Amino acid sequence: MPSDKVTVEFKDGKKITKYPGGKVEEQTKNDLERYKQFLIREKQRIDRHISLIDDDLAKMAV
Amino acid sequence: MQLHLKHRKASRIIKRVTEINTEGGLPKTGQTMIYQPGDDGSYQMGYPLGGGQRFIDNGDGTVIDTVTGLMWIKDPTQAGLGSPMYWYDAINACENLDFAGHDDWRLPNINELMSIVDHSRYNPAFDTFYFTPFPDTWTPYWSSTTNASWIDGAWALYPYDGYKTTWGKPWDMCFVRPVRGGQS
Repeated sequence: MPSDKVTVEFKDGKKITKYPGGKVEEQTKNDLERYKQFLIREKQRIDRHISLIDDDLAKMAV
Repeated sequence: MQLHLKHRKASRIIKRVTEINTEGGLPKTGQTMIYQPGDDGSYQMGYPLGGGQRFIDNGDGTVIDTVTGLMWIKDPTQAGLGSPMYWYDAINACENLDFAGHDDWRLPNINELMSIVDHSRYNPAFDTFYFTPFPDTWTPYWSSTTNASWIDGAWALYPYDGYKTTWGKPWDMCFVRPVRGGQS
C-alpha cells in the first residue's frame, strides 16, 4: 500500500502528489500521455520479440 | 592568472581520471564471450582488473563489493525480507533494518543495483555464491530511484537477466536487497 502520508489530488488538469515534508510534484496530461506512448512502443517491441521467439519455437517442433 | 587557474583545473581533472583508471571506476559487466569483435566480451573493460576477486563474503550474512565499496545482504530472507512488497514499504523496511550489527541499511539506488549484475549469467544474472537468489527470478528488485518521466513509478531490476524497468510504487510488489555504505 502507498504510504498514508502521500496524498494525491487532481486539480486544474494536473495530478498533484504531496509527499511528507511538504514536497509537491505535478504531472501534466502531456507528461502522462508521453510516458503512455513510450510504454505502448515498448509493448510493441516486446510483442515483436515474442513473435520472433515463436518463429524459432515453431521451427524446433519435432 | 586565468591561464594559471585553467592549468590547475586541467591538472585536477587529469589527476582524477588517473585515480579512476588506476584505483577504480565502473565494474566489469562479467561478459567474457565475444559475439562480435569490438563488443563487451572483447574488451572486458572495468574493475577488478585481471579477473581478480571482486566480492568478499564477510561470513556474517553480508558481502563487500571491492569495486564500489558497498556492503550487501547476501540473503535478504535471513534479514526478514523474503517477500515482495510495495515501494514505500520497501524503503521503510530497509530504513528500519538492523542486521549484522549495522542499522544504516537502505534501499539501493538503480545504479547501485545495476552494479552487481553479471551479464554473463541469467536466471539470475547475479553471482549466486555471493547473492542468494529468491526462487522467483521474474519479480524485480526495487531501487530507491523514482522514474523522472513517471513519478508514480520507481526503477526496478529483473534478477532474471538484469533488465531495468519501472514498476508502480503503490501498486506493484518487488523484492528488496538492502545496501549500506558508498559515497554521499
